[in-house]
Amino acid sequence: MLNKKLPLAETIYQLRTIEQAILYDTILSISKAEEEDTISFLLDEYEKEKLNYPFQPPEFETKAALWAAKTIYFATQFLINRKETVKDFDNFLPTYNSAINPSAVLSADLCLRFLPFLLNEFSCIDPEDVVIPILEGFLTTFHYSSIGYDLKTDYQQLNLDILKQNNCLEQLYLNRITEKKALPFVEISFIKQRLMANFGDYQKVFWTDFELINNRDL
Amino acid sequence: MYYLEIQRADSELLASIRHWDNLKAAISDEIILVKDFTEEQIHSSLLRQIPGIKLYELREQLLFFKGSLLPSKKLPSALLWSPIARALPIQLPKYNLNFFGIQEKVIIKLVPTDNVRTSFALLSKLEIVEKSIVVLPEIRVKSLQWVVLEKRALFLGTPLLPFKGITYWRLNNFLLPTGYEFELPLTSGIVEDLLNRGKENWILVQNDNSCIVIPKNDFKQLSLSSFRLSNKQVF
Repeated sequence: MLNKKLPLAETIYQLRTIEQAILYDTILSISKAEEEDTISFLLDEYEKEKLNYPFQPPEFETKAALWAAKTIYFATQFLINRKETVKDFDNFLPTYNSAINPSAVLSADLCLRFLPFLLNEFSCIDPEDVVIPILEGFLTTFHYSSIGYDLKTDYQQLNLDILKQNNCLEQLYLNRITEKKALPFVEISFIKQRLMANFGDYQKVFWTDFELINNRDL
Repeated sequence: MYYLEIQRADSELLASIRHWDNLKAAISDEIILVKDFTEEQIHSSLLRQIPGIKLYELREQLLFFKGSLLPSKKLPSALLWSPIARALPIQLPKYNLNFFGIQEKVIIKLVPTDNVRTSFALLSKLEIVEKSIVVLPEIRVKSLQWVVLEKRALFLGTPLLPFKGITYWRLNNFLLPTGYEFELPLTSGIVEDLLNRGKENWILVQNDNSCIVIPKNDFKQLSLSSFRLSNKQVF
């Protein structure tokens, strides 16, 4: 069933449909055509998810989506393939070098949302792994995908300006914090205010512990 | 020890306190005496509503008017005290063997009520929902079930969504408009047996006494995409 010629497309398809990643015995290179395939698949997926987005959803951003797909693919392969040395990581896992706007954040999230699970796998195998800081760096930039994972950074330093630009992304951000009960984010006063506005009178119904965090500040 | 006195001719007035089964009553000539009141009963409004009663306190076999320092009379001797329900028996109407009214029908209808009930469902116009639902946080939406009824949407579950619409409260498998209840509450079980034998449906009763039977399976979890896709089909 596996088509060995399309490692990226296969991995992303499996990841998005059954939430499982494929490990290959060597790191396979990716052809241009395969990138196109992956992009059109991700675009479909984005259109489906867009239906569930509040307000006016931003457009799909090809570059960010492809970057995230490749990052996930290579990061997965690094779980077992370590023929490459530290200096090669930059080739396989480059940083995202375009503007980070709401479109980019949401498009990248299609794949990046699986990165926290992957990072947990890495730290199970070796907590000192050099890949971990690189991947955590990506999550700090695309912090929407990191919600629910402990970034070990100062959450007050996260750049939240992007949320203020776009109410769709802001609402999705708050939804995910609520869903994952991501406590570190609640300590950011902007986020806390917005969450309280979300809950209205039903704070206790939706998030029992929220009150505790609230009172700790008073 | 309190005693109540009432003219025998007015004995029917005691009907409202006849269910206090700690009371003992005795009949002497033209009056009825009742004793064994509790402190609570003697001050209750039920008792004070009965016209033509005299309340006495018994001290040293003399009856004092309640609150009076002078005795008014002696307690009649040789009284036969019996439980009030036996002392004041009820006469049941005779069974009418020639009753031909069995063809009569009971009309099931709603009447306004003062009882406060928690709302459980909301019926809103689709165009209102369409405008407001996109701004809601996911958590407000995802615990609810919903179904489309022509151009309206019916949401089940709490907390209710903050939309304009008609709210309903839940009585078993009935959804009744808030502020209303069945005129004859006991008939609800019979109606349910007729309309909803397997309990697989919700019965939405409307203010005009009509009802809509909605299979429970038709309800879907509410989400923005569910709403957007359904809305496209309706319009």
